Amino acid sequence: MSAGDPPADDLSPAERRLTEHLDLLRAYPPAGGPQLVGRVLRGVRWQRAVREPLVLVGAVASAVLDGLGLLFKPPAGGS
Amino acid sequence: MLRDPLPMESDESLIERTLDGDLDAFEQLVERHRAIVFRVAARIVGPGDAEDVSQDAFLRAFHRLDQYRGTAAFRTWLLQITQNTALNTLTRTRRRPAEAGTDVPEVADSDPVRQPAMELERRERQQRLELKLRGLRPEYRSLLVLRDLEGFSYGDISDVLDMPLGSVKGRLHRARGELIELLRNNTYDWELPP
Repeated sequence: MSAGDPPADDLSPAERRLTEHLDLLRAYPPAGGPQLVGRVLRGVRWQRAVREPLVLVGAVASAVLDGLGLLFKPPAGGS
Repeated sequence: MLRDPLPMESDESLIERTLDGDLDAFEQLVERHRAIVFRVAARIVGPGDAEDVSQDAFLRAFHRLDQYRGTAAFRTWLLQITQNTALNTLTRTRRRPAEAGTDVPEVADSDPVRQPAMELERRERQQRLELKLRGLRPEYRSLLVLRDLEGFSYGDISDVLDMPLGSVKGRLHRARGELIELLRNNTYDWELPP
């Protein structure tokens, strides 16, 4: 608990009892395996590898669409 | 003669190195914060999806690292991403095991010869409590996890959940009340005073 936070005395009896029950969860926290680090790093490397080509393809596609838009743009002021 | 261990490199320095393309620095950040990210994820989405949520949160953090402004601790920023990723997962899977509280799965090793009765009872109580916690609405669940299980200050919770400080206190009170009611409605006697 941090400075400035209200003391535990502010808790109702039921809340205090609840806190005691929650001690059990605090004492036995879920723990992930060390394989998470490897999974994250593999994901980062893979995403970095495909990201640049994808951004390039997106930019080219966008430019092509812009060009086509100019070519087939209806004449201004026509009704 | 023993030398003093090297001082631990700060998160900010590791972030700078990561932004310069050094993946070893990011690996250190993941190693440093993986335990709390996994714990928070597991307590929001359950242990089954916690690793996927943790991985997703770290990947999102990596791609948004240039948006980290340093106004809050890196851990707070990372947990904000974790919490959002966990909530998205819950929305996607539409899982809210509120009604599952009475169905406690068998403990993994229930051989009474190998497990003393007290240990079995402790594990059963723990599983019931975890199920009840996950039965809370996600917003309340996050509040209780950050405050009552991880011991965060109200200020840090306000940053992680992007919620005004006053709302944190009020909603935390309501979250505890809702969990107390869930426990009272359980067949298991939690000995909660009125």
